[in-house]
Amino acid sequence: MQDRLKIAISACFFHADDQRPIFKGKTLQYIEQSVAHWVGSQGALPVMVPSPDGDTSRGTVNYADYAAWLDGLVLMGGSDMWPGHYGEEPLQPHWSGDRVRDQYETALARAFVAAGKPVFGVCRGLQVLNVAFGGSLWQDIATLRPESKAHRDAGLYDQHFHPVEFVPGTRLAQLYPGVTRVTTNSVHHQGINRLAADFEVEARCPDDLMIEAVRWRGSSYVAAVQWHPEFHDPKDKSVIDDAPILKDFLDAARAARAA
Amino acid sequence: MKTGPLLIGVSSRIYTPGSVGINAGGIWTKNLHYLEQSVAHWVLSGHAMAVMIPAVTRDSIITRSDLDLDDYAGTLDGLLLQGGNDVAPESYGETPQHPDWAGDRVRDLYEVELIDAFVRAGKPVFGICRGLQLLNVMFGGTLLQDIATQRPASRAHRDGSAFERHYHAVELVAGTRLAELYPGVRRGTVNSLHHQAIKDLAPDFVIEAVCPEDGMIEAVRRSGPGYVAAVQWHPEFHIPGDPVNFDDTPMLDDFLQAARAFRLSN
Repeated sequence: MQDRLKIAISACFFHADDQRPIFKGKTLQYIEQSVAHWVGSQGALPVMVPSPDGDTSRGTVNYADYAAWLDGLVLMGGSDMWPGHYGEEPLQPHWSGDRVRDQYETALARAFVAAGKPVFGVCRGLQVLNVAFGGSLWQDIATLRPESKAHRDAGLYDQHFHPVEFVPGTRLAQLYPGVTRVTTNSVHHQGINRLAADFEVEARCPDDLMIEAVRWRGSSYVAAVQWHPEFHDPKDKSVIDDAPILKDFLDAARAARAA
Repeated sequence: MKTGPLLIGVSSRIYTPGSVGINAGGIWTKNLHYLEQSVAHWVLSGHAMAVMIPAVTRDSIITRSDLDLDDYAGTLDGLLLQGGNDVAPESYGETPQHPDWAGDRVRDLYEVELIDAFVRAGKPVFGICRGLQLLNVMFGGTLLQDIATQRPASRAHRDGSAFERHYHAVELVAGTRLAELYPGVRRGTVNSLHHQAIKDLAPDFVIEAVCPEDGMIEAVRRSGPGYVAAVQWHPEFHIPGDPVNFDDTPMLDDFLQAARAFRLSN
């Protein structure tokens, strides 16, 4: 029982808003149940790590303490990043993103990398990791890369799918022997523009070559996918089986614990 | 791990699409588990790490996960119950007297299972507001479904427009553990934002504080082995300049010391 891997899930923010009828002026931090259940589906214990920063902050515990105790980190999906974090101005006010969450997740990811513990990014998590390691994003795929296929359909939400092709020879491709092409959901309007220097592309959308999966070439395990594994119905055989990806991440967490 | 910060689990508030609570529009189409940031920061102020425990119940509709709340109790050093929705009257053998008081049965079941796991593991549990009410119910007590309706002679314990800026006095019961934590203090001012309260006290519970104006129960502790304590107010809300003069630090430290003592003895 004590042996179970303990996996951190980063929080999404519902920032304080005095116009809101309830929780007026309160900052809430949340996770989606589906992410917790996906991370726990192979026996790991997921917990949400709250941000220690913010207007009610009064502690001394920091990100390194969490990284020392937990075995791995999953950055979950959510809002856009603030373009200032990759040296751009927001092209539209509603693409300003969540600067507070960017800073929190970047600090959390850095703490886990420094501790040699694996980090896995989902959707926004892929984008955060790419930026944290020096890359940049398309602020809006449809506007800035109009030749691309649609990567989000607001009406279909998590029932919007497209093909994804693995890059041969990558770790991701090795997890799916004999498979080169899969189908994934697609719920994002931003994507990787400039790839971080030490990142490797592991999968692309064959229709427009948009980057769909990446991995860091560095000293520890940092990998991410642009889709949402937690939204896939495990019974739906028409979409990718995400279990090997989770298992690989958890194996790395187990190995880091033993090291 | 004998050294290092304590690991305190915070129970989730649960948002179900379409339920009463937050209505934040289209993106909130999923089940969410959340906490109020200040609760986490209160735990962190005691140099303990707060983590939120996702909601999983044995009869969870989503059975994809094989999570077991016992494993959280085995791994973490203590449990903090956040405030939030009402306890469902079904949880203490009543039916809701008003549709607005139907409470949150899903969260009741999740938290009862979680509390049970921590108590069986011998680890301390501390309840805030709804947490006090749920602990009382779980150990055999009942609640007033609505103070204003059922105890009209009581003072106001909630002011909808003032939210956490509503206060009243509490009196510590001499000789209790809580009173021991505040030597020389008999009365204090706390915030008050609840419309339900303890009606029948759970058999093994000791009253540690009351509202002197109406005798409403404001703090309890379970007698016997283990550490189960709770307060009806919200110690995590700190508003600069508010009239709260009841220092929450000794309460938090006491809870954390119990968690530390258990860790060191095992």
